Amino acid sequence: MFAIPRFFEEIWGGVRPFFIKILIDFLITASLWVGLYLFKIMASAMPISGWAGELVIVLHSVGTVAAVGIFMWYSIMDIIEIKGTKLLCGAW
Amino acid sequence: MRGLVSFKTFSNQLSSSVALKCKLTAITFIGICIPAAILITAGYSERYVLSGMLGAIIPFQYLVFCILQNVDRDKTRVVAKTDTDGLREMLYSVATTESKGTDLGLTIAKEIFLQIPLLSMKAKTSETERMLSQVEQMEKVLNNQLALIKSIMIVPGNADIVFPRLDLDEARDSLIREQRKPLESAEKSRWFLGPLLPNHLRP
Repeated sequence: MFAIPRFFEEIWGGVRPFFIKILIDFLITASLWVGLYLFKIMASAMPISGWAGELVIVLHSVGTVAAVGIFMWYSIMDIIEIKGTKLLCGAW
Repeated sequence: MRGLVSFKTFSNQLSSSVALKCKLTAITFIGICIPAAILITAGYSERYVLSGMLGAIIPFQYLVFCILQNVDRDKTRVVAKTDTDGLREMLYSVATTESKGTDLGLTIAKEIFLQIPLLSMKAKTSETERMLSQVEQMEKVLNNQLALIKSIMIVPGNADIVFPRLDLDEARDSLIREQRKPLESAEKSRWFLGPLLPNHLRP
């Protein structure tokens, strides 16, 4: 009976450092994403004509792709660092 | 020393600092996303521009990090150069102060811990012997001042407020070790690179 909560605790203990780091990465990149989305809503509410309007739309798409790239890059770095630290501590 | 920082340092610092991540993300957006959007608007192929942008993110952030590191280092040097006697004056004021307030103790300790790395930075850039003796003198003064701070902190009721778990001895030892490192390496460099150095720094 008592083994089940301990089992989940162990899983959470292992996942926690990765979860926190990846959540931070997600929040950083999501803030970029959300900012661009608000920018897009604003542009659609107050349309801009010509090349400037086109630039705003393209900037939104490019920023979204870049945010995904940055999120992946940061997450990979964090996973490598945490794994390296755990290896050094002998806990992995 | 100007130049590129190792990629390992970059990845370690990037992983450990949220502020750095935010800074680099913002700079990446300004430095890569906006030019990419301009290129696409100008008629370049979206496929190539986006691929190039994704590929450029890591090198770009690395270069920006190197530039930021060099700028920070230069700022530290300037502070160290302009504030050489600041530590001595501050320590003197600590020695002569009558106040035993815990906030004062905290402030003083913080100031001391902040000033010591500046001294070591200065040691890198000026005559090594002079700085070595100066640092040794500072170590003696620092030891005295730490004893003073500890005496302030062991006042009953105040000990739990100021540095409840900070081991001052250990902090002092690690600081002294840290500040000796550049001096030792500077000594070695001076010996091996003697002929390349300016006249006043040659062994």
